[in-house]
Amino acid sequence: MKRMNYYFLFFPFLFAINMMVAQTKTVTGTVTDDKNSPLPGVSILVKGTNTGTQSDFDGSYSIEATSSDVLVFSYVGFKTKEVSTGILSSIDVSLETDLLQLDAVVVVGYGTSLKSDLTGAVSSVGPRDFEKQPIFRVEDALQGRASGVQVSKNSGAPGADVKIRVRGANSINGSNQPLIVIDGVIGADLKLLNTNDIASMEILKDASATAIYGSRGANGVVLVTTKRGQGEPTITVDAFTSVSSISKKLDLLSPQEFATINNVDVMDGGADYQDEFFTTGYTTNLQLSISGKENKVGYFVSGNVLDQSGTTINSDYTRYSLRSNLDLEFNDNLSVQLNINGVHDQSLNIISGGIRSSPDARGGIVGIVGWDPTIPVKDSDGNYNFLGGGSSLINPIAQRLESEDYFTTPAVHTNLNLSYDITPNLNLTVFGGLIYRGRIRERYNGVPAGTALGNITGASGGGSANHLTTIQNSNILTWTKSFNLHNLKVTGLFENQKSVSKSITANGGEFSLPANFYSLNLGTQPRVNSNLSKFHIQSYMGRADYNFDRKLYLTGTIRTDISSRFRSGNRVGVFPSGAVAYQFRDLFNNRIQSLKIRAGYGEVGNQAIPPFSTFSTLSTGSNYPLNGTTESSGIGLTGGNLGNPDLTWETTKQTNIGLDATFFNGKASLSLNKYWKNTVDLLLDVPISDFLGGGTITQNIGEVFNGGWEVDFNITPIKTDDFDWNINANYSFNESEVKSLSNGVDELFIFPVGNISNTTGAYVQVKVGAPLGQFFGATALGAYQIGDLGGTPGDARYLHDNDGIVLDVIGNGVPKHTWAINNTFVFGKFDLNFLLRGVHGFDVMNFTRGKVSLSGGIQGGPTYGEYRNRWTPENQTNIPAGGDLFVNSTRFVEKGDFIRLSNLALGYNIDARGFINTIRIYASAQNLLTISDYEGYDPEASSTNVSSGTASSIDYGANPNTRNFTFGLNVTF
Amino acid sequence: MKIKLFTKSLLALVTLVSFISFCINCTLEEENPTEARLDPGSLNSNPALEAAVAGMYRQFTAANQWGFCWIRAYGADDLTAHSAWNKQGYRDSDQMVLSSVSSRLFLSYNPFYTTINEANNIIANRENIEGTDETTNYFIGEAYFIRAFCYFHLTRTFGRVPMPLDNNITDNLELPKSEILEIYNQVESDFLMAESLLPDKYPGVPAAIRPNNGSARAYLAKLYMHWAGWPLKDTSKYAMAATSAKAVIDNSSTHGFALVPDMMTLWSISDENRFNSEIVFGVAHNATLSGRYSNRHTGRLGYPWPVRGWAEVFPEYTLFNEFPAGPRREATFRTEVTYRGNTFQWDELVDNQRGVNEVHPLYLKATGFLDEISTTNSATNMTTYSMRYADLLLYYAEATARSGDNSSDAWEALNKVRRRAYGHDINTSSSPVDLTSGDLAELAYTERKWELAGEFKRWDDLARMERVAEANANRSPLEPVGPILGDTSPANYFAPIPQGELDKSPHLID
Repeated sequence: MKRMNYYFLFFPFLFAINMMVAQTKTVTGTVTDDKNSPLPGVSILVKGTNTGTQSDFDGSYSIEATSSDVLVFSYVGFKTKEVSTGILSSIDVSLETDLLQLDAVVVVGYGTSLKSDLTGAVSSVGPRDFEKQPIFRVEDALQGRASGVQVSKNSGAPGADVKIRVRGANSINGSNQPLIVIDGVIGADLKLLNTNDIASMEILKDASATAIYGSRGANGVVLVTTKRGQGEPTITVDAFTSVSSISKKLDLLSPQEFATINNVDVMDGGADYQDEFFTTGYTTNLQLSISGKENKVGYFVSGNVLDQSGTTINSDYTRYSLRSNLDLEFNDNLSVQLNINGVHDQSLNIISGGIRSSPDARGGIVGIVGWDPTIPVKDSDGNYNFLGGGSSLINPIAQRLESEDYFTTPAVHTNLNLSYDITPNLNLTVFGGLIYRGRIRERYNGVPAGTALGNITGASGGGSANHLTTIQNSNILTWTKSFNLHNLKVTGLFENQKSVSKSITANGGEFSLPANFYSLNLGTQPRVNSNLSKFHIQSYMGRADYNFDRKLYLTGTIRTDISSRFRSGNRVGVFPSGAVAYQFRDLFNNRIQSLKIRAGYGEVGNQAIPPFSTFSTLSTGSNYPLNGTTESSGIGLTGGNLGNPDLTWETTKQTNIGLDATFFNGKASLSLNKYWKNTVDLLLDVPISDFLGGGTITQNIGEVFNGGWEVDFNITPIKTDDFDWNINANYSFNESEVKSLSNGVDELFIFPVGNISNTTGAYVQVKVGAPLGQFFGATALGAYQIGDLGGTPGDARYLHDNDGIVLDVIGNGVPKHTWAINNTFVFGKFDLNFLLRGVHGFDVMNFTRGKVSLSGGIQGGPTYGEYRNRWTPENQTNIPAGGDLFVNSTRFVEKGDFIRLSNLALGYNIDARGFINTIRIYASAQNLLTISDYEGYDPEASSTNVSSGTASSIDYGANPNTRNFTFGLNVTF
Repeated sequence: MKIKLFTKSLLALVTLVSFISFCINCTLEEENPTEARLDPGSLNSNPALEAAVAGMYRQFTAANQWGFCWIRAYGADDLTAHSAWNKQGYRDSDQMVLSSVSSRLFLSYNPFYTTINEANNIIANRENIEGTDETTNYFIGEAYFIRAFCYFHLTRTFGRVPMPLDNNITDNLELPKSEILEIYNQVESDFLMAESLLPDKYPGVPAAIRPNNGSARAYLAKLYMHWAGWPLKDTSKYAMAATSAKAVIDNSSTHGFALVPDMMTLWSISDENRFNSEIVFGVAHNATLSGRYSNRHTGRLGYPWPVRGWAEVFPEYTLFNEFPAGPRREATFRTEVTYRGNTFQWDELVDNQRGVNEVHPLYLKATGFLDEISTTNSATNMTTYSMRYADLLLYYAEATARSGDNSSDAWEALNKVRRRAYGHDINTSSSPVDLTSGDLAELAYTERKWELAGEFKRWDDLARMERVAEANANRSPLEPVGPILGDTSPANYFAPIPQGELDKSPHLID
């Protein structure tokens, strides 16, 4: 390895010699826009080299070049222009506005590319796409912006996890969330990022683009680049406040109706538990940034304070974020970037990342919907009425009000980027990244969730502390060369990433006195545990981009990852990819300005198992009071993980073809992609028979196919001095099919939201030949009528055959079609934006409704409004009055399709005076309108885990998305 | 100036490159699981063995927690549940229409196997234990006992079931069902092994909540009773049942086994009552320590909806009506409930949610005492009596008679139970309660019906004597669940293997 050092040492000398022999001159000039105003900050580059400069405040520049050089002028929002220097020493250029941003520089991972030079399927989302939306979550910025990228807000709880799928789900047991890379740091957390800090986001969709991330690229990659200082010092202040509420209430029996049906009395007027549980949420978001560039120092510093209260009682979320992005051009060769981002977020009573509304699945929203409405929250003495009937024992309002479950995440993301131009053609970038993230949970439940009130006080508490450190070093060597019409760029990477996560958990059990979390010693059943998880990935990557005259493009990459998660012999993964594209220009009498056709293939991996998974273990903590009265500590060993030493990566092989066209004189663009993805050697948790103790063993077995197509369309129908209209539309279609599972097994049955009662057993099926997300259950046939055989009149009737009840697929929760249309109008000082989204071709399993529609669910008696019209001898309807309740039956599977007005915003730009550059005030509404036949609160809400590939759209007390009204102010100085 | 900058940047480059070479040298190490996980090889000492035994009992608690663990027992004439709600599984069993999808049937299956899995792991590590002493044998003996107990339960409930006996899971994936005789042979061998390893009395426990060699022998008696009856019908086993029971009775003081004087105290959860001499083997529940150890087939589960009960464990009307009067009747049923300050007779607790009146008699055995367990407490400390001494005495009487013998000891065993039932001193013969003539086998068999009513035992007795149809012939039309719908012949005695298991193990489908 020492030899390599010497080899590199020669480069500076070669460069010095090279400088001495070149015939250079100084070229100067001014850069202006199409209205002849000077453009500061334009990047001017000698083509095929890394030599470059920027225009100053007056738009003027000065650069050293030879007469054979070509100067490339580029600036965000303008078309790139190339000018040969020839004999000129003064070159003035005027840049044209680029409506389609074709010449924008896009980040592709370990480097950049011009958008028009891309050979893979990459979507770009920038602030101009979402700046008209008052948002503070990055996921909101991505939603509806790019085809093939489905962002589902499964929970309306503040700070909840958001589900992102790039071209469907590949993995049955692994996570299906895309890889997040923020400023080159792999595995960062989107939730902690201030949206105001984002300069651009690129979503790598096909394997020819994602293969450079090798074993972690299979679910697509979201690359986020934060803002850097440029030009004059600018201060931006953005403040908004929102008022949120749920947009719908369910039709439930009134206290009197419930009392009449159940022959009980209404106590003190009863209560409307929906009104008791849902409330108005308030959000205030304040963002401040200061940026600029002076001489060789650029800076972007920002701060963000977000304070959000939930639309369910006693829940909130706060986030504080500070960032400093510093750029230093040390000299012509060396530049330095340092990014520091410190974040602190905290949520109160946001359960399981927002997918639940109570620690006990029967509590929370399911609990309030099913609660006995004849019993008010408190009795006349002001004490809680803790008990109802049925299985949901504890009053869900009392449970929430008396709970303090805090989740705190302090995090620091930093990275240092040293870029050194060894020669004008050769650059070495050394990158060091550090993620530090803590996670502290402090839980105190004054009232238990679920069915037992406890013996002593009912209060309990517990917590955990987790400490994660990830360090990353990436070393990138880039060689760029142009000769004649050939352009070549070769990138080499050597990278190491190590991560260590340590945690301690402590639970007190039931407290001897009502107290608080900080009196954990009062716990009568203390439990402690600790955990260590760590991994190391070492990677080599090479990439070659070649184009001939920017017409024919070829890209090839190969990445090798070595992962500590697998045993030696299985731990090296090689992930190749290649793509080809051809760019046609000015076709059909210039009706089409450009048309590029692309094709690519690549293989990417998913190392979807936790560290130490290949080893069998004993698990601890199964204590037991062997003498019947006391429990010894430190006992209770049981068989733990069943390790499979042969595990290795699951691999996704993807083929993509596409075309990109621009027409209407560059006012419109169309991009089409079609893809086929096969994920093989799935890291599948193969169920072990219950007679062997149940559980699973992970094996590399099985195959899942995803295929689909997607289209993005962008047009500016009108652009005049005082009226601009831009439309951005996208559509995606994805279909999956399970191709194979383990030997001899062609179906798996799973319980994505737990093993719940009133089901026929498993309610989601994974079956060979069928798509992912299949709901499984009984076929409801209404109620038995008088004279029907096989059941009592009025009882629920299900499809039977000779073997008993017929169980089959009864729906599918994975949307097939998603689309969005984003319209922006600028008329004079006003701007208007609306974002309309549609999600189609899926069902929702409405367990919330199921649980309260018939006796035996949450309560002894049903509470759903429909029960008014149940079968009686006098009113022989098809709505069952009794009998078996199966919530996984066709009765509770509903069409989930919806169209939603995600954003409607009206802004006004006030004339700015003095030191103020711009002032914009705006009012907006999110989720103002949802068109859907879904009977529940929200068809987008789901209780399934956001990383799940097998199930989605199960509403078991899912937190609905809220309707927000926002007023805001944006000022730049 | 330029030169200086150049030198600086050269230095910077050298630094960068050395940084890289430093990183190249950082090797990727193999995972070392002992750094962060507990290796299965750690099960190699007595303390580790005791910890594993605790882990086994933790699983075993789950096999004794809910009424669903004995779901097949609802096919008998002593048990019923609410007619609607989420009681479908009980109802299906009650009406003899259990199917593989009957709700929570798996609770009669899965937790027994998870327990067996732990027992197998303990037994497999027997040779690895260093520093063995007599307690090593006790621990291993318990594992054999619990494994036998679980397979015996499984084969009584499901008939032919797969029978893994080692901890090599990956080799056992395709294990077929064993024949019932094979299972009985294995259960016998395990109980014998347990008997040879366990002490006369388990040290450190207040009652036989951990088995002793007497518990193992008593279970052999029960095994032989079933072996002699349906489905194997090897009547030669009655004699073995009688000898086995006799052996335990003769050594009852060594084991600490005796009837408690007042049957009522069996359902009290105070420590002096819940740990008692009548436990031949039982599970000590402890809801106070954790809900995981609690008994969830008593308390709230035995009350009806009007007092906010969960309505899972009720007597059937015929049994209730025919039950002989006396202290045992008082100690079996609850006839009065005080709820929110009002006292109700059992037949005043009318649930008419479905528009029809639903009323059930109540088991005191299930509800416990109101001053100890409220009507809304669904997690209690009540002991699960796997086998009471009264149970063993009656087995002895019945086995003796069915094996053709007619000893006075056997009559005495029956009469001890009867004396307590009718309020007499257990050890003093008393007329006319004492029986001295008649069909001892049938007298003891019927006595079991009264003595053990509501304890999930009646089904076992009906099945081994093939009397399910006969017993259910007298079913009251008042039963809210409705009439028997399914086949009451032995062909329908076994429960089907739960659907969840069939899905995972299609080779178990017949």
